[in-house]
Amino acid sequence: MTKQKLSPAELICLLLCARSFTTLTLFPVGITGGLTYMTGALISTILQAFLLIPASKLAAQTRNDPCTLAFGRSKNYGKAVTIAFLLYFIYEAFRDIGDLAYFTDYFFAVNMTRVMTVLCVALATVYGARLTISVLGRTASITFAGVIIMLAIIAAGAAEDMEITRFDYAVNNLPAELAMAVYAEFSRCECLALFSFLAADIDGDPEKASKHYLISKGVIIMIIAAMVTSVLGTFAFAEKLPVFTLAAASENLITERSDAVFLLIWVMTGIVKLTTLLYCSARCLRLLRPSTSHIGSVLLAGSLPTAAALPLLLGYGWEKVIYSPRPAAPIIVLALIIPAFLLIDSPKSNHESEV
Amino acid sequence: MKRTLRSDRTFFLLITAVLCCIILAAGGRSISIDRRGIVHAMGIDPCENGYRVSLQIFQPAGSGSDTAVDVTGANVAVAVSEGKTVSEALSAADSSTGKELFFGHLQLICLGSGIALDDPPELFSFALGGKNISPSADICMTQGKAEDLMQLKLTEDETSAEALSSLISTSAEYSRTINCDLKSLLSDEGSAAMPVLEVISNGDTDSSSADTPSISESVRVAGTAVVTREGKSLLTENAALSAALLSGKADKGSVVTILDGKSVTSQLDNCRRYRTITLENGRLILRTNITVSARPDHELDPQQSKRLSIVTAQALASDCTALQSEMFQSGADIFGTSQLIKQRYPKLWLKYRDAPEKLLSAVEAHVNITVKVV
Repeated sequence: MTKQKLSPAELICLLLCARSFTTLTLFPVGITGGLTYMTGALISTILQAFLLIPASKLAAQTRNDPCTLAFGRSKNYGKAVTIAFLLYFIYEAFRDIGDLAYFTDYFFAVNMTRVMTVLCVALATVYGARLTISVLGRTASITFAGVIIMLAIIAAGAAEDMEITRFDYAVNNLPAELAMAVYAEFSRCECLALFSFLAADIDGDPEKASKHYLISKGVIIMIIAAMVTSVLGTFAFAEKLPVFTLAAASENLITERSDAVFLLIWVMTGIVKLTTLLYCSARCLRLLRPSTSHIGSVLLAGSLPTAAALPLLLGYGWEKVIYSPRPAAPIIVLALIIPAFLLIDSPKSNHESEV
Repeated sequence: MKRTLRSDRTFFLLITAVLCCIILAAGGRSISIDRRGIVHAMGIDPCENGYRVSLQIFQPAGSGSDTAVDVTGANVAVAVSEGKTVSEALSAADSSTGKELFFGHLQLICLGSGIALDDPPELFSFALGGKNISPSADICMTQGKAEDLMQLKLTEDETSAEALSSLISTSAEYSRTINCDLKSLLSDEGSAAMPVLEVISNGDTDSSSADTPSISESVRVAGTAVVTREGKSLLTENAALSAALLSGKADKGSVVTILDGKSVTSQLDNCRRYRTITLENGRLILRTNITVSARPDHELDPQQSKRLSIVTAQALASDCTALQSEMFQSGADIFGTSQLIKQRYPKLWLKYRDAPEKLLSAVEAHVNITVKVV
């Protein structure tokens, strides 16, 4: 059976949807200046360009994901690497299901209970995760086009209120604030672990794809942060949801506010991200237990984060998760260290498999 | 056999899916539109218990249909409630009206003259916590009680609130006042300036005009309130043009100048502002360059146009410089000057963050206006 392939553009759209969802939901906690955040995001993106070199070279040379390559080296090594990827994807899926349910409840007031939201989201994403990666890629392309259209609508409606003087470095300790912004931005980039896992599935050059992805990601994050800062200024960082607030303040000839468009695109990017995470988790489960059926692995991948998120959502404890810091160490391990080790061993393992 | 099993499974899956949809849909709570109170405008006044809130709620006045809007009517009902905080007063209004109030369409927030604005985030915590209130909702002040303004049921537009919003936006467009919205009031960018509305007490008690008052007979823009930490001051309509030009919010305006013994009224438009700020010998030098186009109401030859341009520019520059100096001396910054200092000299801004009036008093303002007569 031939493996389904993604085009580089589809992979980039998939990763951009995943990254956009995080930024559209919340800005990093503790950031007080828009220009500081933008500068931190830019520095972080430049550092990520170096970080992704091993993963993209590995994918280009071997055309296999790190878990399969690790299994090719030894069974225990393969299990360890696969469990590492699986745990991280399940953790991110847990955060995303919770954020989708929590903020849907916040945006839409009382009409949907959190249980219903979680069930609907879980069913939709489990169904999506059953499909092939090329289908996910096409869906992500359409969704990302929606992101661009949404940003254009919001920018057009808020253009009158944009003020260039709102960009400033008036923070007490600029180097410390920049470092915090760089770290906060980096720890929100679970898309790097996704790239490391999915880069081998593209039918183009993974190294070029990684460069194009990082440039696009940097541009999108900077555009969103610039729009929020130039329109809302310091008010943005006093509000819980800056991009939603910006959309609510954006007025055009047809609509008084643009937050309905924002919510549509926000839900779509969330679903695409969650579906991708469940797809990757299900693949990891099938690598660990090859006897597991396709549907069984997807159901298990969907039910684990759902079961973990529900008690916190129903017990109104999700706020602690929102404001808890995201760990950066797993991203470094999955996107840099594991691919680097595999890359170093890769010529040997190829030679051994030929023998 | 296989095909039968597959079609049986498909059939049962379909039935299960439909049942799930029905059961899950029953779990939600929906509110019919007539049980929703759509709030268009609100007024906030101080009272003994804390705050008195008056809400204009959309109520279609059409006959024979729940949703028809009678354009000859005001289409609003007014609900009043009190509470220790504005949020508490709004919760009380929910139960007093018997409707679930919805603030997504809130266009205008009016503050009574007695409201203290020393802590806007505290006063507007109901808007910050609530996800439905748009940050672009207009804010204005009233000369007396905001409730009097809310009780006015104007019929000019579809709803009374739209008529008030139109009055404010048109006045701001013609630089008779300066617009203010929620996000500019709550952002830390200097002092706030907002329109002041005054309810005109109509001495004639003609019943027909009392039922459907026109906007020009009922309410007028009384000026622009400048809110600082020390209190409030009022800018007249004449000073509003200078304030609008200096803050970059001027769209159109008009100015009367004397030329060859005649009063010439010029309509102003295409107003552009460009500012620079530099630090020289321990003083901040603010240079504001403004260009406007002027259309006089008299036919003028090129020489007269040139003289009109100079005279108008001098008059406007003089008014602007005087207003700017007065504002800086009193510590009021409605022109975004502290934001400019924050961008260009962040360390200096941080040093005087808690005492911006000291920073403003060190600013030397120069205004240069170029008038192009068209």
